[in-house]
Amino acid sequence: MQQNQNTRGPFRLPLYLLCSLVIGLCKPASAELEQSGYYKNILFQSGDALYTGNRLRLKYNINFDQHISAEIQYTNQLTYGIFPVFQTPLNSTNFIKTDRVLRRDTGLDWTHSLYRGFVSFAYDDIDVVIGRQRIAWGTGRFWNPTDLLNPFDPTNIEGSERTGVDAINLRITTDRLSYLSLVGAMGSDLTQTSLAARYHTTIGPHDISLMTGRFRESLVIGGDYAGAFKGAGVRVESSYTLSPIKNFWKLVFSVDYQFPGVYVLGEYFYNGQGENDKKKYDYAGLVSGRLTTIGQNYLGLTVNKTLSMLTSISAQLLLNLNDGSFLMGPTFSYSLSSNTDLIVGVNWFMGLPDTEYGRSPILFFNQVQWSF
Amino acid sequence: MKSKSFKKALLGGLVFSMLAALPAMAITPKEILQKSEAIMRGDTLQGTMEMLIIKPKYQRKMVMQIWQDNKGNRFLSRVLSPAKEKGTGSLKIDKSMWNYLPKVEKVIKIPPSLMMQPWMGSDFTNDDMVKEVSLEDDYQKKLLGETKVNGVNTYQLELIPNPDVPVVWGKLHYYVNKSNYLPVKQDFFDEKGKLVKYMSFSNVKKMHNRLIPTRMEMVPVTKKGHKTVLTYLDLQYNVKIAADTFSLRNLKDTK
Repeated sequence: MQQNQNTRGPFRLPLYLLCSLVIGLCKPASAELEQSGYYKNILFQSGDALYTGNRLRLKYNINFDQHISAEIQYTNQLTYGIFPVFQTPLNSTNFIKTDRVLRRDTGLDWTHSLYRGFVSFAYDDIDVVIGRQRIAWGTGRFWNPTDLLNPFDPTNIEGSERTGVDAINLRITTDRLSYLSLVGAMGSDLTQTSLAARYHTTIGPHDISLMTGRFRESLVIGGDYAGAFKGAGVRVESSYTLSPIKNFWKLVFSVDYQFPGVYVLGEYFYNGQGENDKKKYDYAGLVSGRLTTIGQNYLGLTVNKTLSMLTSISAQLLLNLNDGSFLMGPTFSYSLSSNTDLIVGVNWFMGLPDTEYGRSPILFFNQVQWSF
Repeated sequence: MKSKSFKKALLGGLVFSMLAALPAMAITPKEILQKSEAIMRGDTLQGTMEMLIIKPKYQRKMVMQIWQDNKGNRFLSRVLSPAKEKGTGSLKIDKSMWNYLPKVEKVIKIPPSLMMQPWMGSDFTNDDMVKEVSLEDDYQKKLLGETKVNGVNTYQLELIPNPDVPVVWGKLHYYVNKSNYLPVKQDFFDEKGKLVKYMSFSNVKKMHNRLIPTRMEMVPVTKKGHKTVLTYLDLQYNVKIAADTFSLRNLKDTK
């Protein structure tokens, strides 16, 4: 239940005002409003630290007419305890500050925030999306070298919680499986602003994308691929970055296969931005959210077995090949009802104290989520 | 004189009987399957269906919208309920398939090995849902004879997958109503010839001016108390479906 308290944008728009603007003022009588969301309770223990949280997320979809729609996802969250520092806060450069502390008192935090908030315009083959949105680029499952706008942390115990980016996204559909995306993500100043483009197409059984852009102070070119070989899913994703500090490659090679009853995913990640030598690790970059990984070579593995329609077990391994440390994350999922899930799991960090994963204590967690 | 007339009448009756029997005898297994598939699938299909997954101790219900272009080999589905799965979409074009997962707001390509796995925990496979494999094109067909299933006179067809077709079934038995060519039952056998599951078709109703079975029950024979019931809530045949329905753009549209 990571709440990004570091968010500092140049604009601080009161949340209620932002929601009112879109829902109240803009919604004509003829518009369709659909409400959904979830309530989640989460508890985890890491060393001596105990953290518990309750989150209510309300999602509103508004269709003004066939061309204009909007989506708002509002979060109201009450937590107790201290969130572990090794859980990376990501995307701390959103343009508009939309999170606000309602009450803070000796470990108690009551906050509300805007998870998503955008308006979409669709005309012929053109879509324009303005606001906080998720722009999910790349085909890797653990790591995405081309997802520089809203990267996610594969160690996060809430895998489906993914930060968005405040951006204008112009998408031109060139045919049913091809499109060009042009994105502008505002920062606090020009150096923090990103401008990027991505073209995606499908040729036969091959999905191919090419991207380039200026992400804050770096120039990046990259691409990704998704296809199949002998029944297995095969994915490749790569980027080359020219930055003021250093130039580097990133590469992901990923394969998955569904055996009868057991799903297996393996992924290798080369991170040219990271270091081979653990003494040179940039921990400050990791904690600040500037980096998601600090080593150079990684291996990710997921094994998932569905025991019944209600229960499944899963194990995830993230291995830093440079320092030998790893994160092992077994989880057990149980469907309590059609709309309620229970997940119990462990993030078991192993390695020497000066290694990437070895410096973190074991983390036990459980989550209950009710969707409506 | 009397005897001659009797012989003529007998001969005439015999010829008439043979002629009457001729169409039934002459019909090929391919034609039976074509007629049956034409009724069930049409050129296009669009509607809403409910899936009820029944296990010995619990049940789960799911409602989804489907769009199917059988000539273009294209399929799109979108889950309407339960809320937890709402917006989950599947798009299939030719041999490629993509899923949209609203939880992570991402489109992912589905590996071919996933096609024979259970769809959303049901007794249907992904392939049963999107019909990647065509009974008409991908199987060798043989008419085994005629038999009664649930009180209905049926043609019994044996379908054996072509060697290059990626299915786990050794063979299928497909039972078609002799009078109207509607499917009555389908048996699924493994490669050793053992019956794994069967699907029975019932509750024949008129939908969009077409008489079809609106309830399909998939029953795994080795799992007592397990079954999945698929019910068409509304269905429209051969309506024009906009070309961009089967697109990545529309797959993500969770409205």
